[in-house]
Amino acid sequence: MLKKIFFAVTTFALLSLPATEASHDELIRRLSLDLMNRLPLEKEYFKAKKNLEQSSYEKLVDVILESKDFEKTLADKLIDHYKPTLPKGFDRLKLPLRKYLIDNYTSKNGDFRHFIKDYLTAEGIQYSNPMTIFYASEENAPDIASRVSQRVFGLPLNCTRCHDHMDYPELSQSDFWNLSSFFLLTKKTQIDRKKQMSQVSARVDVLEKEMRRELGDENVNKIRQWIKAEEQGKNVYLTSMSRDDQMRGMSMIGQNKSGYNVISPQIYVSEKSYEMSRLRIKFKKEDSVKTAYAKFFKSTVKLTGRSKPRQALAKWAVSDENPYTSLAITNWVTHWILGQAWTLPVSNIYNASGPGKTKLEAYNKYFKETNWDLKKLIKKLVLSKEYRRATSELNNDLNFATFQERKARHLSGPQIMYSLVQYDNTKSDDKVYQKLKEFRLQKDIDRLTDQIFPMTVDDVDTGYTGTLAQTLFIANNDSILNFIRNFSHQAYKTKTSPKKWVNSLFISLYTRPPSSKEISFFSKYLNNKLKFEDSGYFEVMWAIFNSPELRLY
Amino acid sequence: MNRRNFIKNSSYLSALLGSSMTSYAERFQNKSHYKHFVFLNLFGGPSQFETFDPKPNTEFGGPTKAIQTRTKGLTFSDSLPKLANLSDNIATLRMTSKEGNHQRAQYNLQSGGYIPLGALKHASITSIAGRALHSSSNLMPGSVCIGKGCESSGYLGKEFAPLTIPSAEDGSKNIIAATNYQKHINKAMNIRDLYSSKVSPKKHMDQFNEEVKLQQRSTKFSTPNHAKIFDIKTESDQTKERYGLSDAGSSLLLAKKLIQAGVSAIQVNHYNWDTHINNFGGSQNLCREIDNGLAALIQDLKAMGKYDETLILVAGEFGRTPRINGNEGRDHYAHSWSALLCSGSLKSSVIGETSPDGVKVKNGITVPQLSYSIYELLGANPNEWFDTSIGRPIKISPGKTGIPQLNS
Repeated sequence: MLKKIFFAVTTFALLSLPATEASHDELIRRLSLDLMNRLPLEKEYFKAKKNLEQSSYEKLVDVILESKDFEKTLADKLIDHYKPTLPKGFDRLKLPLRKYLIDNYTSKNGDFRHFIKDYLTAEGIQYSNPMTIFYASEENAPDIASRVSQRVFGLPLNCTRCHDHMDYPELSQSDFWNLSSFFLLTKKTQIDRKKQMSQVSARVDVLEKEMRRELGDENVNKIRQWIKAEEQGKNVYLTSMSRDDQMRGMSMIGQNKSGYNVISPQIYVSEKSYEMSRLRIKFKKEDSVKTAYAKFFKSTVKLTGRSKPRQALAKWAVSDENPYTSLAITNWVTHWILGQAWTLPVSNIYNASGPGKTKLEAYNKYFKETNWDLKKLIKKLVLSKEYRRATSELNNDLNFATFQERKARHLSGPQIMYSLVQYDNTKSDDKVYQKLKEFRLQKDIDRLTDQIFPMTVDDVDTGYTGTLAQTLFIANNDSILNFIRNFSHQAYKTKTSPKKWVNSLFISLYTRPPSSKEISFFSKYLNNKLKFEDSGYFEVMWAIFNSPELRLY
Repeated sequence: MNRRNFIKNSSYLSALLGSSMTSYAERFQNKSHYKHFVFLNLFGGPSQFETFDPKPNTEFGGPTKAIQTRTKGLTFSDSLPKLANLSDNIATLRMTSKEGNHQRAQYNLQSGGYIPLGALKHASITSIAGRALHSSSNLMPGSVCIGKGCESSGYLGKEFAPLTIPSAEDGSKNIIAATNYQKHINKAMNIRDLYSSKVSPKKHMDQFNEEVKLQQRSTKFSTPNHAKIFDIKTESDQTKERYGLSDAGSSLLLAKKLIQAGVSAIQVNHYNWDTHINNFGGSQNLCREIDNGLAALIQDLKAMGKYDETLILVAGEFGRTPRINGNEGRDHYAHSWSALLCSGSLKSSVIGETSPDGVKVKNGITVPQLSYSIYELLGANPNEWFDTSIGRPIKISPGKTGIPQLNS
C-alpha cells in the first residue's frame, strides 16, 4: 500500500513540474540541427539571435524553412522513412534520388499526396523516373508490402505476415497477403531496351569530354563497350573495375551533371497490365467487365478492366476513404521534430490511445485542412509548446513519454559530419571540381557515418545514447584530428586572440557564448607567442570538440 | 491491461526507480561455463560439397576429393586437412533454410533466424552473446566485429553494439591516435576532463554525465596497451605464418588476441564465398585460408586452456547447388548446407543427414534451432522476451527448441 502511495505521489509530483521555455540559444541550436541537420555557423547564429530579439520566433522558423539545407534535410528524411528495408542496391542510388526529391518535392510547397502517389506507382527506367529507385533493392513483393503497410499506412501489418495480429485480432494474415498481391506484378530488371540505351548513349556523347578527364580514356572506352553490349541485349559488364566501382564512377558523372544517374546500369521497374488470374486477391466477375475487389484491411480497392494494381492502391491510399496515410505522415514527422512520436512505435498509428491520440488527430486535421502541405505541418510542430520546451537536466522517461519534458538528444552521425564539412574551405572556381568534391564529401559523410553510427534502429534514430566506438572515433580518428589541427592552426596563424577564439569555438560548436569562467579556463592554456605545437590551440579545440556538450542538444 | 501495456508500464516504473548498472551476466547469474563466443561468418555462401560435406564420385560431386576426419563416417574436403584432424570436438550440422538471397539470408543467419522487418532491427547473435557473457568490470568491449557487413545490436540498443573493426590489418585504427597526435591528446584529455567535471554548466545534466562516463572509458581504453591488443603487427612472423598470411588468418589471429584480452564475443567476416564462377579452385583457396586460421586458433585456445570455455560457430548464409553451372560454378542453394560448432566442451557429432547426391537433407537443422542452442550453451535464455523500443516484445531466439543431439 505504502509503495502504491509513494508511486502515485512521485508520479503526480513529476507530472506537475512546470515546464520552462528553451532559451534563444537552445532554440537556435535545436532548429538548426532538426531542420538543417547541422550546427549553425557563427554568422547564422548572430543573425538568428538578432531575428529572435528584434522580430519573432516564427520569422526565424520561416527563414530556416526556406533554406536549401532544409530542402536537403527533408529529402534525407523522406529517403530514411520510405526507403526499402533491404538497403543493398538502394544505398548507392541515394544521392541521385536525393537530388531528384529536392528538385521535385522538397523545394516546393505543395500537396504531399503527389509524393505518395508517385512513390507507390513509380514505373519505368530510373533515368527518366528516379522514384523507381525506391524499388531498387532485393525486396520481394511481401517485403514491399511490409514496408508500405508500416511506412505509408502506419499499420503493424508486418506482424500479420505469419499470423493474425496478437494484439489486434482484426488485423488478419489475409490482410497482409492481400496487400502483398498489389506488388506481385511489379517487375524489376536491368535495362536492356534499345530505346532507353540510346538515350543513355546520347547523354554520354554530351558528357564525353568531362568523363575522359575525370575517369580516363580507358574507362570511358569500357563504358562505351558496355553500352554497345547492352544495346545488343548482352547484359555483360566489361570493365576491369568491379561493378560497384563502375556504378560509383558512373553515378558520379550523372549526379553532377543532371541530378541523377545517367549511365550506371539502370533499374527498370514495370508493372504488367492487370491480369486478374495472377492476382491472389478475392475477385468476382461483374457481367462482362472484369472487376476485382482487393480486400485489404476493412477496405475494398476496386480494380477494373486493365487498371494496374499499384495505381489503384495509390488512388485509395490518398483518398478520403483511407484514414491511415495522413495519420502515419503526421506521426513520423512528429517523431522527427519532437524526438518522440505522438504514438509509438512510429510506424503504428493503429496503436494510438489517450492524449497522444488526441494530439495526433488534431495535427492530422490541420495537415488535411492545409491540403497535405508538409512544410506547414512541420512549421506548426516547430511552433508548438512541446517543441519550445527547455531541455530537462534530469532524464525522466515517464515525463518524456507523456510530452511533459524534453529529453536531451544526441547528435547523429550525419549531423556531426554535415557540421564539419561546412568548414572545408578549399577553393576552386572549377564548377565540375566543386560538384565532384560535393559528391565525394557526401560519400565520405555516408562512409564515416557508418563508422560512427554502425547501427540504425528506426525508432530510436534520434539517438539518446552513444557508444564506445563513436567516442573513440571522435577522439582518435585521423580525419577528425586533421580537421581539428587545420582549424586550430588557422586561428593560431591569424593571431586570433584567445578570448575571441574561445568565444567563436563555443558559438560554432555549442551554439552559445562561453561564460567568463569558461573563457578564463580555456584562455589560460592558450599562448599564440609560442610555436603552434606548444601554443595549446590544438589541445583546447580537441577538448571543446570532445566535451559531451558538442554531442548533445 | 494487455501484455504490451504491461511491459511498457513496467519499463516506466523501472525508469523511475532507476536501472541497475550491473551487466546481464551478473543480473541473471549466468551459470554457463562458456566465456567466449567466436562466429566465423563465411559471406557469399560456401559450397558444402567443397567444405564440410564432400560427395566425391557422385553425380554432383565435382572434382573435390574427401578426406577422413577423426570422426567415424565424417569426411571434409581435402582442402581442410587441419580441421579434419581436430574433429574430436566439432559438431557438424546439416542445415536447411529458405532464404536464397544473400542479403536476406545473411540477415537471417546473423539475427539467429529472423527475417528482415521494416520497423525493427533484430539483434545479432554476436551482440546477444556479448550481452550474455560480458561482465561490467571488464573494460574491454562485450562484442567486437572484424570486417564489414555485421548486423548490429538492433533492438538491444547501442549499449550492446559491437565495436566494429573494418579490417584486422587496421585493428588499432581509432583505438589510439596517430603517434604525432598522442602527446597532444593526453594533454587535451586532461583539459577536457577538468572542464567537464568542474567548469561546464551542463555538468548537472544526466545525459551529459552519461557521456562523461563513456569518455572516461574511452580514455582508459585509448592506451598503447589496448592498441597492442588490436594490432596484429606486434605478433611474431612465425605466429602470423601459422595463422596464414590471408584475410581469414589475420582476422582469426586478432580474434585470438581479443579473447586473450577478455572480449566475450567476436564475429569474423570472411568474404568471396559466392562461387558462381570457378567454384572448385576458388573454394580450395578459401578453404586453405580458414583451415590454417581456424586450426591455429583452436590450437592456441587449447594452449591457453580456453578451448573448453569458447564456442566457435562456422557458417555461411546458405549452401550451393548440387548442379554445376556452365562456368564451373555452383549457385545459391538454401535447402541443404553445413555449419560447424567447435569447442573443447563439445563431443564430435554429425547432426542431420544429407542424401548421397547431396540434394536432400534429412532432419536438417534450421537457423532458429541453431541460435536457440547457441544461446542455451552461452547461458542466454533463448525464450527471453525483450521489450523493444518500439513497444513490440521480441523473443531473443525465434526457435522453439534447440538441437537435441548436441552433446556437451
